[in-house]
Amino acid sequence: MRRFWALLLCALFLCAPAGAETFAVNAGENALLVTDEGKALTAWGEYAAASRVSPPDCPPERALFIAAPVLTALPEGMEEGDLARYRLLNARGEALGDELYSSARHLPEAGVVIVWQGEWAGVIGEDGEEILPCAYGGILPNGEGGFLATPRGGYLYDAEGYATAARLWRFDANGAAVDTGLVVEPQPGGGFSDGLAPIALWSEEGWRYGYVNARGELAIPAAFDYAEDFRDGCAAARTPSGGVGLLRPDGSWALEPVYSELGYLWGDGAAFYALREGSVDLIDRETLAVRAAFDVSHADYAYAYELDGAAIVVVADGEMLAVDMEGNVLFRGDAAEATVSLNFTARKGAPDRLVFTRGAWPEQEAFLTDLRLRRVAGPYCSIESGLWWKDGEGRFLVCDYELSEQTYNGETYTFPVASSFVYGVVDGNGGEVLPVAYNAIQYLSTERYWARRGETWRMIDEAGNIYFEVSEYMDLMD
Amino acid sequence: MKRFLALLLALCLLGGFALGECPRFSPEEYPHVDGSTSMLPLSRALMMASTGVSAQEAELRISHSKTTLSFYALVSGEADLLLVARPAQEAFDYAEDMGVELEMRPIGVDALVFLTSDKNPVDSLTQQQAVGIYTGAITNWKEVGGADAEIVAYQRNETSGSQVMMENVVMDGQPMMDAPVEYRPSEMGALVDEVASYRNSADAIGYSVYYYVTEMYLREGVKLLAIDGVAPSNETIASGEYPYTQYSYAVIRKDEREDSPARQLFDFLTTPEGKALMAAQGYVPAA
Repeated sequence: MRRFWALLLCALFLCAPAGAETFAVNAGENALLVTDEGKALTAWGEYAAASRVSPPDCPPERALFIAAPVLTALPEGMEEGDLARYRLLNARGEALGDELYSSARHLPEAGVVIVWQGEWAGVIGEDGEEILPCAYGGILPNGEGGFLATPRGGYLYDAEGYATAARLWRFDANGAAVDTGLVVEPQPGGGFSDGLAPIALWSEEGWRYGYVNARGELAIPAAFDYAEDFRDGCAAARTPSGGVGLLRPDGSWALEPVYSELGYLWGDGAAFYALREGSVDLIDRETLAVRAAFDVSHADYAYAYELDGAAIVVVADGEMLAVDMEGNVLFRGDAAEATVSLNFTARKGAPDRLVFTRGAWPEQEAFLTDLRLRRVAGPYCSIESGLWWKDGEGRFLVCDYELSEQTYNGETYTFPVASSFVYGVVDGNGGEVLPVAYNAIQYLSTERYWARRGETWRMIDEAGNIYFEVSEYMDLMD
Repeated sequence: MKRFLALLLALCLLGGFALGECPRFSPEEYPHVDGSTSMLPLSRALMMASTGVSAQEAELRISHSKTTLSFYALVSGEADLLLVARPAQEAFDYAEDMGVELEMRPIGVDALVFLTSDKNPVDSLTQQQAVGIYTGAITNWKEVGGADAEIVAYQRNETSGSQVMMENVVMDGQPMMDAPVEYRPSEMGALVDEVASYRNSADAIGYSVYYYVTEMYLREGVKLLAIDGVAPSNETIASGEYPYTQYSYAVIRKDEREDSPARQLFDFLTTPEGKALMAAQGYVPAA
């Protein structure tokens, strides 16, 4: 019988609808937490600004937010002109304690929030309970329930009182605190991945980067001018002579440091770009084999960038060449006459659309194109950004405005009229999703937008249904 | 004679001659209208009547910079016509400094009203009490027949139409005490102090313009106080029985051409049809 009820309960949980999603929205001088069902979780006038501090893939019910309370009196130690501080809120709009923080970063995989008060970092749990007070230059959760951190008390100062280095300590999950013996940069900013974190250590040759493991031991000696986080078993690092390559966790080179730049860590495609003298290589992310190489030896200056996993653009002395992740040429052009860009707020998979802009601001024309630069929609005054891309479908924020001519000292200039900016949303084929008639549009999710018309802000979906509405003038201003 | 006049009127109507009809313009010809927040509904209704645009489009096209700032816009030429309460003196000083003459015409009557929570047992103040609260002479609700609680007397920003009306019409030269402040992050993230926004606690009192709080943003839990036993209403405001009233105005630059869209709309607003448009939006037209 017990098994029957247990099975029934499991089935109920599996079939239960997902909980409501919470968004931080700003409306003029006020901010709210509102669910996707249109329920306000905080009171109007309680907070002046709010934003989400959890990563996009955080489960909705665990999402955390920071919100700046409207204060009737300044907290002790704060003065007018100081940067505002924020309260941490959970997805139900409840404050996680009374402490105020300068900023915060939620690490759901570690179940903690790194918080800052001014320049000092601390750690709190997802319930708001303090784990480490804000008394550290930098804190790295080590993936084993503990942290590596540089306590303020371990700072080293020069003769003029400037902090130059700090001792690295390990704080274990059982509460033990251990001085690792390493002297590192006062505010280490890297993070653990694949069990290793980059960190700068002081040596006779100056600052050099190495990698520490979860116990705070130097796993890869500090021999690099710069080092990035590990990803999929490799990390980009630069030697003191300027060569960039990919390191393995054992410190050996998976990709020899013959490059000046690698688009490895932040790239998103099946291949990444690698710049070296006279050539831009396209390297397979998995095998590290060179899929294609593009000769730029004729150029004085060459650079490359990736378009959200869809393509790599190589620019050599202004000549633009775009290739797909196989190295096939998609198009060529003149980088001085046009720009090709792509940047989605939320994306899953490689898109098959690009934003092509030609002409000089503010009279430019923006088009939505396929990967071969064939026009799909436009022109618009501006395609501000990709909003989302998922399962082969996307949404783009487009902008329109009026132009005005002004004459100063005999010269005539053309400017956009500030009060004429309007925004809308189109799909990947240029079809209208939200009319180009809003004063502002913010993406909340694929199902919700936060849009302003006049003084009224609304949470809407693509069908124009209104879930929540508020006016900037709620405070009886005139 | 009556038959003659009726026939004449019918002929005029048949002939399409509309006396005082709202001037018609395309959206592109429509002048840039600005003004007070409380005049937004009239501003949008005027644009709809003149251009035929929808309410949604009018909402998008019309935005007001608020009372005093709209005067700056008019003087600088960014705005062509204002629908507005009386601004702070600095706006008139600015116009004079810039050598711009303005033409102001009363079009409506609005009132300054006092707000409290509906949990506050006080329903009426005398004029003397209203002044006393805001000079700081009266500090507890029990002094005006209410509960034993300190009065939190909210004000408005010094350039807002409500604040100007409060000083001109209520305080009559008596200095107002310091306003409660609140601290908010500025655009750059730094905390700045601002005049605190009204918060409808049981001990609060605030003020705003009648049209705003009754037609635009009806807030639950808020009630309006009577003054000397006279509750504010369209009737008591129009008759002058409610004491704290002031004109709202249409304003243009004096050098506006006779046939310009701004002047045509400026003139229209004081015709019977213009007043009817105002009344239809819930405003009290000027006599």
